[in-house]
Amino acid sequence: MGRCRIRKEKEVDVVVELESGIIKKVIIGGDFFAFPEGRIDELQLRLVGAHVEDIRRITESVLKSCEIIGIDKSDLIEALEKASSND
Amino acid sequence: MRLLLVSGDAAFNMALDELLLNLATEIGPTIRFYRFSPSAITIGYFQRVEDAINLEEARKLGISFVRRMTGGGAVYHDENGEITYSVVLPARESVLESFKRICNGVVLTLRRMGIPAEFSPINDVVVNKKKISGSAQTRRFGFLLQHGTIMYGTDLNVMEKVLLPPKKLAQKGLSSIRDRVTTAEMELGRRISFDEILSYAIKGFSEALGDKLDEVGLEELSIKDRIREIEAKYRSREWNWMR
Repeated sequence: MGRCRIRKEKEVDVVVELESGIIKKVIIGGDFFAFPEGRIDELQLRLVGAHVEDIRRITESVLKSCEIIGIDKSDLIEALEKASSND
Repeated sequence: MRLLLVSGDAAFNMALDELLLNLATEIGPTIRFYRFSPSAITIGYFQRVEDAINLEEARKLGISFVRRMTGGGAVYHDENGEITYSVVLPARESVLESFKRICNGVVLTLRRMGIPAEFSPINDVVVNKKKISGSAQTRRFGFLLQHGTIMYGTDLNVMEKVLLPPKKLAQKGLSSIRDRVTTAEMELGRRISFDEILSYAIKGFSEALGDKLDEVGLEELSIKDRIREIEAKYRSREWNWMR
């Protein structure tokens, strides 16, 4: 299980579990704001079963119409990728 | 705009806030002032329970927690030391602009009491750089719900025990909660009652929102029964332990 926390004005804290490059489990936590919040839940669902190399593409696509406050979307992508490489 | 002065436990309070947002297109803007009876912790929608709360201390003190529908951080709501507000308004401004406008209600409340409060983006109100109020927001159906705290006599010892400090504060070396948090009582050096701060809050928010606040009861809004089903969500393990 890999974990990465990135703090800007708010924090994103990601836990990723991988198996042969495939995401088995992902939790996106933290004290940031997202509008609508459900997009982050959707992203978690979409990442499970995906290859680690597709993290950026999937995240950018799911969060296209999601406004995130306190961190940047790039911070979330970085946290997902770093947590994956820590696993 | 309608003013509701109804308090309950954490699940009830969060359910009523959610319901007021869900019904906003029918009943229009509302503002609520309330307290948590009994004292409780709320955590932000995205927070992991174990990272936000010292569960062992909370259990020892008999303090339970509820996950909010809004993002942001964990809050200890002291029954005898905090007034909570919630506002439902049309979402006409950006998130950051609306945080500032609504938090100005907190600023004006405290300034009326003689406390030099200032808005501190994104979502805090501070006095001499110490946090006295935090807020959180969500949006649905073209409306926003913003709820937040004003600490007038919060027991900071309990707060320090039950909440785990964010990593950044530990890194900054601000180890004592008194270095970073204050209350209206600490600023004024006297006791303050819930009713006293409530009367200032009604005036402060009325001024900030540019609207007269007219008190109504839950019965008048005919929503009493509809709260129960949302309350059940906030009492469920599935919701509260989602992360």
